[in-house]
Amino acid sequence: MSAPAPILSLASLRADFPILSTKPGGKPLVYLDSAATSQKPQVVIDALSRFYEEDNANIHRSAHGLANRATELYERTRSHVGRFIGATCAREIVFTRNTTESINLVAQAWGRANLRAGDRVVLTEMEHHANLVPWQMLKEQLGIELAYIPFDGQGQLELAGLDEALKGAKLFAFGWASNVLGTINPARGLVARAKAAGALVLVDAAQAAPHFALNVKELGADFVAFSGHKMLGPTGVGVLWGRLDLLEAMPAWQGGGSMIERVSLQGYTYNQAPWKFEAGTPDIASVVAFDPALTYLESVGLGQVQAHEQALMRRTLDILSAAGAQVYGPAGAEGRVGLVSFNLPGINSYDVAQVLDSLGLACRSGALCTHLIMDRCKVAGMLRVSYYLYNDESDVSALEAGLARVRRMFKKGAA
Amino acid sequence: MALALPPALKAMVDELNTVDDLTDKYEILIELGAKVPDIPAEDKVPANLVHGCQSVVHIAASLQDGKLAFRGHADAMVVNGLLALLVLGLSGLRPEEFLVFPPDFIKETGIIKTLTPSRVNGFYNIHHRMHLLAEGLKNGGAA
Repeated sequence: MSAPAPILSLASLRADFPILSTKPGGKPLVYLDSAATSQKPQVVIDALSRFYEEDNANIHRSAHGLANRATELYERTRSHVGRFIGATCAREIVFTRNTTESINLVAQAWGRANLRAGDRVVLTEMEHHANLVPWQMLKEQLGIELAYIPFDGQGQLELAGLDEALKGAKLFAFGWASNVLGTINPARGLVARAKAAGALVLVDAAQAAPHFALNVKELGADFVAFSGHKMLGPTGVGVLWGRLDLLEAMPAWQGGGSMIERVSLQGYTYNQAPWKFEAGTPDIASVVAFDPALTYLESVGLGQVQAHEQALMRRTLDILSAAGAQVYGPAGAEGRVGLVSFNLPGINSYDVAQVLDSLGLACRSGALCTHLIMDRCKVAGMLRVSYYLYNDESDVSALEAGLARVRRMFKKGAA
Repeated sequence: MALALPPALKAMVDELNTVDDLTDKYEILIELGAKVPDIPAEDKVPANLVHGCQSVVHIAASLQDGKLAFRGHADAMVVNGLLALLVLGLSGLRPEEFLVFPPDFIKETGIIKTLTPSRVNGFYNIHHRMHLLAEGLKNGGAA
C-alpha cells in the first residue's frame, strides 16, 4: 500500500498550534526548542480535555462501560504506535513516562536478569545522559564494564574500534540522532555490526522518531525507546518497543496493580507483556491524546517534515557561518535532524539565550544533558536551535535578527 | 518608602530605568558588566567561587579605611552586569551599612522579572556570599 498523500500543507499548519500565536514576554513567541519538547496541535489538546470530560475511568480493571471505553482508547493508541513504527504486534509496545524511563526499564529489567560482573555494554560518547547514567548505575550495581565509541570533529562516530568493542559485548545502546550534534547515526549499519557480534541492541530514538520514518523491523534492533511529547503528543508518554520474546522473558521492573496475574500470600505471577511493565495507573489521558498526534504526523508525512526541517537548517547553517559561530556536528543539513548547537565566539551561551529570550526567541542553552559532549568539545555550554514541522522561514529570520542584535550588544559591551 | 540607594548604585539603577524594553535593559546591563574589572589571579581560587550559579562567579572583599571593597567577576556578561550593581554599587559602604541593606533593591531595577529563575537565585547567592564576607570583616576577620 502506498503512503497516504499529505493532506496538510506546512504553510497553513501553524494555526493548528495555539501557543505559536501567543506573546509570552510581550513579543511574539519564536519557538526554537522542539528538541526539548514539541508544541501540541489543537487536536491533541482537545483529545486531552475530551478524555476527562467524557471518557475518564481507570483502565484494565472495572466492568463498567466507562472503564471499558477508557481501556479501549488507551489500547487503541498502543495499536497505533505499533503501526506507526512497523511493530509486529501491539504487545511489543510498552508505555512508560518518557525515553529515560524506557531505557531505565531495559537496564533494570533486562540488564539485571541478563548481565553479570565483567559483561560489557557498548555506548557512544554522544549519548544523552538518559542513555548513559542508567548503564553507569548498572555498572555500580553489577560490576559490568562500559565501553564508549568516540566521535570526531564533524560529529560522526569513529567506528574503527567498534567491532573490537562489540566482540563479546552483551549490548550496544546508542542514540539514532544526537540531541546536541544533530548527527543522524547510520543506525541500520550499527545494528547489523552489533548483531554480527552477537550483541543485543537498544536504540534511543528520542530525537529520531519525531523527524523521520522509523520502522523497527527494518532497523533490526531489539529495543527502541522514544517520547511522545517530542512528537506532538502530551508529556507523560514514553514508548519502549521491544522484541516480544525478550519482553516476555524479562522480569517486571516495578511491582503493583495491573502488572500481576495473581497475587497470594506466597507471592505473585506476572501478567503478560507489555502490561507487566505498566504497574499502577498510567497517564491514561496523555496516552489517549497521543493517538491524534500520530494521526497528525501521518497526515503531514514524516518525509515532508524532514525535507522541511532540512530546508530551514540549510539557511540556518548559512546564517551561523556568516555570524562567525562555532557550529558543532555535521557541516551540512543533510546528515542532521532539524537542530544545531553552536557558540558565538567570546559570548557565554547563557547570555545569548537570555538576550534571545527577551526578543521572544525560546532556545536551549547550557550543557544540554550531555556532559561527555561538552567535555569532548571543551566547552561548558552551547546554544541549541531546534526546528519542527511548525517552524518556518519567519523563525529563521527572527533568529538571524536576534543573533545580529546579540553580536551588536556584546561588541558594544566589550568596547 | 523608597529605599535610599548609594550614589553609585542609584546611577546604575536610574540608567536601567531609562528604558522599558527588556532587550534594552539587557543592553545596559551588559555595558555595565563590561565596567567590572577582572579580579586578580590570587582571588580566582575555589574558596572564592559562588556556588549555585550557572556561570563561574568569584567574589572577594577587603576593608579600605573601614569601608568595604568588593571584587568580583563572572564568565557571563549578564551576570557581570548584576555584579556591577553589587560590586561597584555597594563597595564603599561600611560593613554595618552593607549588612542592613536589603538585596531586594534588585526588584527596583525591573531587571529581575526578566531573569531566569536560576539567574535570580544566582543573584541572591552572590549577595549572600558578600553578606558573609562583610560579616567576617566587621568582626575583624580576614575575608
